Amino acid sequence: MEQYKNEILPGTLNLMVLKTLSALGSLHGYGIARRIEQISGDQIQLNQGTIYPALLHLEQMGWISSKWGVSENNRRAKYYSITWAGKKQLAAEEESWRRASDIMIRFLEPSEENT
Amino acid sequence: MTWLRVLVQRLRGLFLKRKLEQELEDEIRSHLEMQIEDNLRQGMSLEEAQRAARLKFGGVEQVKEAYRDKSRFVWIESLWQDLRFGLRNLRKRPGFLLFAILTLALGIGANTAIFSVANAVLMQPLPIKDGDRIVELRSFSPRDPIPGGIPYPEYLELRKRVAEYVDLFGIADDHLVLGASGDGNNTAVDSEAEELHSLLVTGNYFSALGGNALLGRTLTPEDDQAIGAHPVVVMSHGFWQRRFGAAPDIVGRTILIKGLAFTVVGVAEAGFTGAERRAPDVWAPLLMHDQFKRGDNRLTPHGPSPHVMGRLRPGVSLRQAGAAVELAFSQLERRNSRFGPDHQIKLYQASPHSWEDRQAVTIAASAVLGAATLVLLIACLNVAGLTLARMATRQREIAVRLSLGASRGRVLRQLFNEGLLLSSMGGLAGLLLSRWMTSALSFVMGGDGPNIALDWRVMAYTLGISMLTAVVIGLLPAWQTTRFDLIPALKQEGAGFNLRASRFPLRSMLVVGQIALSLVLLLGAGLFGRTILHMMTIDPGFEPKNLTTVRFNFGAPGSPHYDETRAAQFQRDLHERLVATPMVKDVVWASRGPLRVEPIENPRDSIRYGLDVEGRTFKVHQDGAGEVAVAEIRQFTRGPDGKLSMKEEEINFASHNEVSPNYFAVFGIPLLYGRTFTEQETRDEAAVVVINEALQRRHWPGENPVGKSIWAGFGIKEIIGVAKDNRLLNAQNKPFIYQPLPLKNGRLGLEPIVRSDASPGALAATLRTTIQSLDPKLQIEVRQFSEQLKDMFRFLLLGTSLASLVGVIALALVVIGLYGVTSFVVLQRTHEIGVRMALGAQATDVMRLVMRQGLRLVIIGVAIGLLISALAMRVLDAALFGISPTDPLTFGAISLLLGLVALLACWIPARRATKVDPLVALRCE
Repeated sequence: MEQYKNEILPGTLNLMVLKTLSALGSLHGYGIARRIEQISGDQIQLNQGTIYPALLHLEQMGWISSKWGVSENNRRAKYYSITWAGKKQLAAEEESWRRASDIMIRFLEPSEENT
Repeated sequence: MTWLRVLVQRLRGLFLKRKLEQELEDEIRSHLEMQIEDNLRQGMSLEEAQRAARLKFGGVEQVKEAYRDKSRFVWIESLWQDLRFGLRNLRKRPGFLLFAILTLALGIGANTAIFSVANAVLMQPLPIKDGDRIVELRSFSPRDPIPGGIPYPEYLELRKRVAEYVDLFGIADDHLVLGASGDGNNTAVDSEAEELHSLLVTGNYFSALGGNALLGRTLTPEDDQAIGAHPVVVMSHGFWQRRFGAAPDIVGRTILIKGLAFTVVGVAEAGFTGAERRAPDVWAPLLMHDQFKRGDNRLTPHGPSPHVMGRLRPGVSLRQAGAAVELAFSQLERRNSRFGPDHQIKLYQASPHSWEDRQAVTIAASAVLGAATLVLLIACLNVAGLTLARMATRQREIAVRLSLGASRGRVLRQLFNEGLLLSSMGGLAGLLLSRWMTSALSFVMGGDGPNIALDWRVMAYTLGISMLTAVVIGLLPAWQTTRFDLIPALKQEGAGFNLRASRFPLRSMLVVGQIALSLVLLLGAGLFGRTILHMMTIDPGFEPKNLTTVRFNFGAPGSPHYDETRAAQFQRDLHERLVATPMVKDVVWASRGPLRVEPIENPRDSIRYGLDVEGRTFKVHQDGAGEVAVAEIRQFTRGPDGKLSMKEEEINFASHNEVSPNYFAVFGIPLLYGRTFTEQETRDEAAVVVINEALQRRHWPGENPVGKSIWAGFGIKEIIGVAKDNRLLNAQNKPFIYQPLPLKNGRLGLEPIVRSDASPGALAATLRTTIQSLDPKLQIEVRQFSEQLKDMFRFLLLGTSLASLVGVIALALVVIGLYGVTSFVVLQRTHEIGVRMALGAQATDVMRLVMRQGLRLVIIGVAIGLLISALAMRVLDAALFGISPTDPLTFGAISLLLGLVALLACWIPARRATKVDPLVALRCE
């Protein structure tokens, strides 16, 4: 069954990463990618590799920090965690997303008020 | 602030490149391994697991690229790469490198030098503390291109309204006043009287310009209260030392100016010159203006019209203040009829140079800069052409790059960067060259020239034109070069870059462009040259050798004092004595010398005149009291002093001279209509004028205007004659109004011109004795008229030489360019030439083959050049004299010259082509 997968909207990847890290604490790149897949229920089509430039960008902006560590399989991996500034950014972006989607939903809902 | 953070990170990435790459490598490997493990756990085989992992990950190289782009400044790295590569390339061809840098240095250097000079003169602020905060106000009317001052009442109003932006102060035109520094009843200064150079200023002048008093006080706003109520002066340091021997008790003493005692209240500190280049003798309050007015001050009948300057308030920019001033001005009631509705006001940064000087420099610099830009363009085209030729040998290299996956944009960028490298080196060399040129110029001009420093504007300008140069020499060839078929190029066949494939390859177009531009430059120089020649050989209508002028130095130290009455008497006596002298044929008096070299008119030399609505005779009648009244003419007003004024809208401007009746005869100016003044008219200062042809053409073309009336010099005058235009004396063919010059008002600055057949030496001696018999102590200067003419020509000759030099440089560049192109063509077609010769072609056939290409380019180039010139030279119409801007002789001769030189440049390599050994040629590819 070919499901119709949405392409990931640009800019939302950052939000997803921040949210993931905020919810799950410290994760390595692979873990973040897997988690995003899981949450979206495999509804989005993501080239996992694109997460790395995104992580770099988030780190440059100071919203996440990184540290080399050892994974559960004794593998060397880079772990990322959200920073305090990142938490603020997340809250701000969440808010604007909710507002935007509220407006959109209101438009798309058929109701007498809207006709 | 995040951008700063990102910047820092990226810089860090630049330096830790390898470490970051390694880390990313590790991360990705780790990621893939983890994915593979998970896949295995889900039951896939190892192969499936690996494949699935890679698929899910996406392209590793793409990810790495994206990462790299973000982690550092990739463009810096590629730039650095390109530069290193370019440098290596250039080192392999030292001849090309040297030539390119030299050519570019010349072009850029010349431009920068001219710009530096203009920048120094135009942008130089006043040499006082915070001198760049001082501004000046100029009022313009479209019909009078000379900016004037602001009448005093308007000045006060304006000052109030813009007070928060700028602190305005006023300065009245320098007045050369004859003052008797007599004594009166105060401590005597000296019994010898002399001339005083005084500057009338408003009370805040000193505070605005930061001038302090060495002794006593400076002028303050208290001295600004009422007209004529402040007989005080501040002395300049130099005057105090020179004239009063630095007397310590100078404060409180008086000096007499035109009979009124002025108290000296202070001495300015040493070195303070205010807003001028040289300090006056004294500063006096502006409201004492009446006291300083010259006897018959025709220029300012309504009271002082000071030249207004100001100091910007802290934090206010020139633009803000300018807008405020313009707004306030437009809101002013135009009480004063001196301002018409189309008068404008503008604020400028003050400069130690006069307005006229600055205008002259602007015009001259623009013209020369225009020519220099053309030369730079030609130089760029030259280098571009040669670069293009070299590109042909790099086809293979570029083809390889393109086939390996480099985008065309990347290759273009690389070629552009190489051009940038070249132009930067050229620009640097040009900057050095320009410094050398400007120091040579400063040396030639002596210490009086402006300080031509290297400031940011000059650097920015150099950078700018270097960039533009880079675009021309980098992009132009690059664009052409990356557009060809890959496969034949890889195989290195000539077909990849086929000369015959396109009729007008870029390289040829470059040469055509060069030829056209050089033609324009050479034509400009040629036209100027012929103008000069014409001016020098024209029959002036009089014999310059027979004319001598005398200048009186009334104000020199040690000279006796002359006030206006005494000067008038002196001139009358001198006139009588000279007329009685046997060797003197004629004595002509004029208020200004007939020869004018400056392109900009001195404001004192123009006169306002007007006509009635229909341009015909005024309706005048006498009323009962015998007064001439003006009836039915709406555009007149009678001013408070009883003088007739015309409304501003109707006023025109003409050049002006006051002359004795024999002026026209002596200077060989025939009168087309009417007659010159009579002696009686001159003595009585009758209301008559003589106009010149240009004026007549302007208002009464084809008619005889004698008998018509014209309002000029604040009165209605009758036209009694029309003088023919004399292009030598009136090179710009301005309209002229001549008024009779009575010798009674004693205006100083009158120079008698003496005509005589005697030898100059004898005449000079006679003049001296005659003058000395009247006044033994008066210093005079005797000058030959022909000397003045020579001076005028010298100035024009300089201009022509400069233009010719530029033209010659352009020509040289064209020759080199053409030679290069033709040589290259020969090189490319060696194989073909060999074949032809083997098949029986003669030397002449080969010559014709090669020359035909060159000839075609030359013809096209000359044609385009002629077309451009026909349009462009019209711009010079005002400056040319005696020939039309599209003079066929000049055009023809120059075109021929250029054509011949260009053909020669083609001929030499063509001749080389005939020497080709067919066997060698056939073997070479």
